[in-house]
Amino acid sequence: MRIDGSTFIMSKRASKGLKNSAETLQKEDVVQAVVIVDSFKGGFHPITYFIPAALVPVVNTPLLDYTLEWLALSSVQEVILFCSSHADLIKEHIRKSKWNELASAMVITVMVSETCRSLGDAMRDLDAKAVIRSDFILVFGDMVGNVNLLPILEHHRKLQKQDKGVVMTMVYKEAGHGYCSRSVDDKAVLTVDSSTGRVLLHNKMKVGTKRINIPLETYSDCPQVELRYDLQDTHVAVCSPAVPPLFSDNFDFQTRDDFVRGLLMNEEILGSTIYWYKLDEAQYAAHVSNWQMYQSVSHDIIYRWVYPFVPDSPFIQDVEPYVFLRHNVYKQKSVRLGKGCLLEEDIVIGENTSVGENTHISHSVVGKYCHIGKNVTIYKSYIWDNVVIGDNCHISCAVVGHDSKLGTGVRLCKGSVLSPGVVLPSDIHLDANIVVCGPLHRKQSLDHDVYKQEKLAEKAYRLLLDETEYDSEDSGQAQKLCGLWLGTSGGDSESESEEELSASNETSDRASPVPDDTYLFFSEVMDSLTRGYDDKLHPDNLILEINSSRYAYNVSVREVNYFVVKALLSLPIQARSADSAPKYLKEFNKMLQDFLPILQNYVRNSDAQHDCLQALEDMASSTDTLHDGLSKLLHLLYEKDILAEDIIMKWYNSGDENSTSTALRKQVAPFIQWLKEADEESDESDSD
Amino acid sequence: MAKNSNKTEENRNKFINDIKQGKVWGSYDIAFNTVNLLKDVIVNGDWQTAQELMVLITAEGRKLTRSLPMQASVGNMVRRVLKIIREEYVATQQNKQEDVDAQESLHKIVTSEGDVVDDYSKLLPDLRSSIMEHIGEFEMELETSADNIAQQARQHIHSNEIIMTLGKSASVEAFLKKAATERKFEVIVAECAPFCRGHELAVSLGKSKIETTVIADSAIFAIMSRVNKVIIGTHTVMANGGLRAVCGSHIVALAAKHYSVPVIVLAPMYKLSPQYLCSYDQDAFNSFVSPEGVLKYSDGAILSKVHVYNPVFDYVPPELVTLFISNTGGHAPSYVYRLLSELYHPDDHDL
Repeated sequence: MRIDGSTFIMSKRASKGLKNSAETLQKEDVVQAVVIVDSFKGGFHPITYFIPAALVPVVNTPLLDYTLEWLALSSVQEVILFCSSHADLIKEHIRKSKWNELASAMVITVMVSETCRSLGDAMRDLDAKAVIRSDFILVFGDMVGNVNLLPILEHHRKLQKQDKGVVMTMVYKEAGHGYCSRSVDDKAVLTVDSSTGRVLLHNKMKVGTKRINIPLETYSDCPQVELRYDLQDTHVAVCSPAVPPLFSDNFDFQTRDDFVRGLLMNEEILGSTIYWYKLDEAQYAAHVSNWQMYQSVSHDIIYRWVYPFVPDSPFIQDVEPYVFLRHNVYKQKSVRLGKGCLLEEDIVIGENTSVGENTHISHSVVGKYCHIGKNVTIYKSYIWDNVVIGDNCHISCAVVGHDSKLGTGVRLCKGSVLSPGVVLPSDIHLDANIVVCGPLHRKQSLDHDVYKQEKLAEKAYRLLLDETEYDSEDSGQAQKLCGLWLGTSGGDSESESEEELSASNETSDRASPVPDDTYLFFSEVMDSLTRGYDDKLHPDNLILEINSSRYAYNVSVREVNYFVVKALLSLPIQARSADSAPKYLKEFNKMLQDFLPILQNYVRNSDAQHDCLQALEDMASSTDTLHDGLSKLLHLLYEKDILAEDIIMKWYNSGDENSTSTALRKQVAPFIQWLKEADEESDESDSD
Repeated sequence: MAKNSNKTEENRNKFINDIKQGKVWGSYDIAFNTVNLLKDVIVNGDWQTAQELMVLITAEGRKLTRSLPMQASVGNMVRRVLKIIREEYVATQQNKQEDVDAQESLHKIVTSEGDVVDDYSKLLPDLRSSIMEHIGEFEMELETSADNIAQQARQHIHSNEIIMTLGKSASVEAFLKKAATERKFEVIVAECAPFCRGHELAVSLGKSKIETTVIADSAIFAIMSRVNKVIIGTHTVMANGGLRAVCGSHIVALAAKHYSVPVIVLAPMYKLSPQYLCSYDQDAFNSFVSPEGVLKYSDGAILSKVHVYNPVFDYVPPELVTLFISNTGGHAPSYVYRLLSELYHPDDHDL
């Protein structure tokens, strides 16, 4: 347990508040909310090196302000802010805000734990400090919403009366297909009992997942089951006081997903249940966890879905409200517009910003005290505060951080991200998905292993992913460098920009291979086998290892067969320089002496043999050495009784029409011929 | 004293939060609570002279109106209290100077205007109590205003008439129910989508045995030819007699104009605002809420392709209003300027 972080109590009213609550309210009546300020997901990497994600401005207001205002609107009385990184900035922000005033209706306590690296750590810390007294609302510090949370809390308490084991109520919002308000990380299929609202299964839909398994018990136990794939996870949850101890008891719970999965899997053991709550139509809540969500939430704010948290309402006290004009243009009175400049639609411009002549802005947010030159085009971009943009710049689908300076004629396209403090000299052109960083002062926190910096100018470094250090475990990091995730937001674009966006989609996909579970599983199996071969491990242990990684990555049986065979086949290529077919076969034969039990264990029935053949075919069509030696390989596997004759024949006859497949069939034709003859011979000998 | 100002601040924040959270709802409650808040400032505030008090009240009023720009009755109440302070100051001062004739004559008003430039800075010991007394009277007026309006119902609604209204207004509801105790008439309620508060009103009227029909907003014009009177409530009465009323009022008023149906607006005095609508801030004058009622969030792909607006208010120009009924009686829209000068001091129009 990590308890070494320091606790910092901010509220001057703490004692008074306690007295009040003792006088007028019972302790259970105080509505507590826990705000995890760091979402630990790193979606805003590398901007989070400079400012915490909770202070990233969305439509010119830091996310944390939206979250706190929202909690205040829901009559939350006590807020525990849990910070890990950039705690000093968060504390400073709270100190300056109205929440620190004596008359504030909400008491905010800031807790700091520098070592905290996940939601699980945070909850364990909360458990150790024993600050949770009753049911509490769990949210993140980077959320935007206008939901009244009290009815949800009531709902949770009502559920508790019926079901003692209820520990969490998760809040979801219906979101239609084709609109990008759902984060790619959060896509999940929810299986719920329709009569009670109990969550039965929660299947994450990772990129590329095509199917999920729903056990039969799910249906047999409940009369009515609902499967939902139209839900936006708001990341709001009402938790019972039992939640922090549950995190303490189970050290492997890191994220909320872990928690949900763990509880659902061990429902009988832990005796805890999870329910869900569907938001009313007029209510909105979203977690701004990455650039895609940043974009869609900005859109929703500008389109007023988050009312009353819109720029023209005075919800932040010391900011002059914006004037709301036609075509969703929000502008402060102090904005100076040059002659002939065109504000098309969906625009927010902050105070004291000046826009030069003939500048064209559309679908964008411009912060405070910015200076935008003449003949500039800004499209679908987010310009933060104090930015200077020179004449003739062209900025589309980009984010420009605080205090950045762009020289004349700079072009930023398709998902570039400039972190705060970048100075770009004139006439620089940046293409798709480039992240540019200013000089890094906090060197100690930057993993130099992962990023390579390419100097563009004195105060501008282009961040690249260091390919040599990049292995499958770091595939998450690759995503982080993908700039604005415009690509995955398909439905968000208008037709004119569709092509542009899909182009950026391709580039981002190429730049970062998807962290597919099955791919991870494959590399895991490869690792196990290589190690097993080198160290001469017992095959049974290897099977155990493979099985455990199978459960870890949630891979189906048939996929396991396929990947194990594939891994076995690619092992000789990796291990030695098997550059020709005979050498490869020799190596494979040698290996099979050790690994035959593994093959026998996995390739048992006809389905598995089909998978095995599929793997063979796939490997053969991609590798030349295997291609040449395929018929020998088939023969070998046939002799070892791994593959049955009729399955091979079936496979041979089922070929597609494409060239590689027919070429392969041709390659193995002699073996098939031999098989047939052997068959006839044996028939004849039988009849004799 | 610091403790008192903290207390005031706490009360103010609570009031603002209550309104935002929808706990305090309806312009009467808002007006009433504002007056209570200001009373608190007068009783606990740190002031010696009327001038100091007015500065305090104005500051408080500015904070309130900044946080609640859409609630005109808050600003109206602040102005009203300022007016009361001015009146009481003059009255107490005149009582002190016994020689001054209490009776005002036209001659005196005309001649004495110039020489007495009063800056409200004299120290008057009785001021606090007399102000509180006057505010007490004013609160009474507030409390009875809805009832006073309802009392006039039978002068306006006659037997077998068909009355049209839209949405739900507490004053209209009380007015119709009062009339129903003596007369038999029929009410047509436009539902006022997307909030459809007309449904609530229809249910409530139906329970009071009033023959009620709910119509869609699109049917307003078609039905209007049969209607004898339109009776609506309003959110604010602007200084020119125009209305800031629930969205749809303009349609009703225009249709009524077309068929020459009288439009009667029920507006208690606290809804009278010294503000004008200027053409250039039409959009700022309105309040646009979440478009959920017009288009569903779950409709998906279309959301990013269209602009959806869901305005709460309509501006109804004064020429479409036939009569205002306030707690002090009926007034034509052209008379509103006179009421304004009685209720508020011109110096307080801008807080």
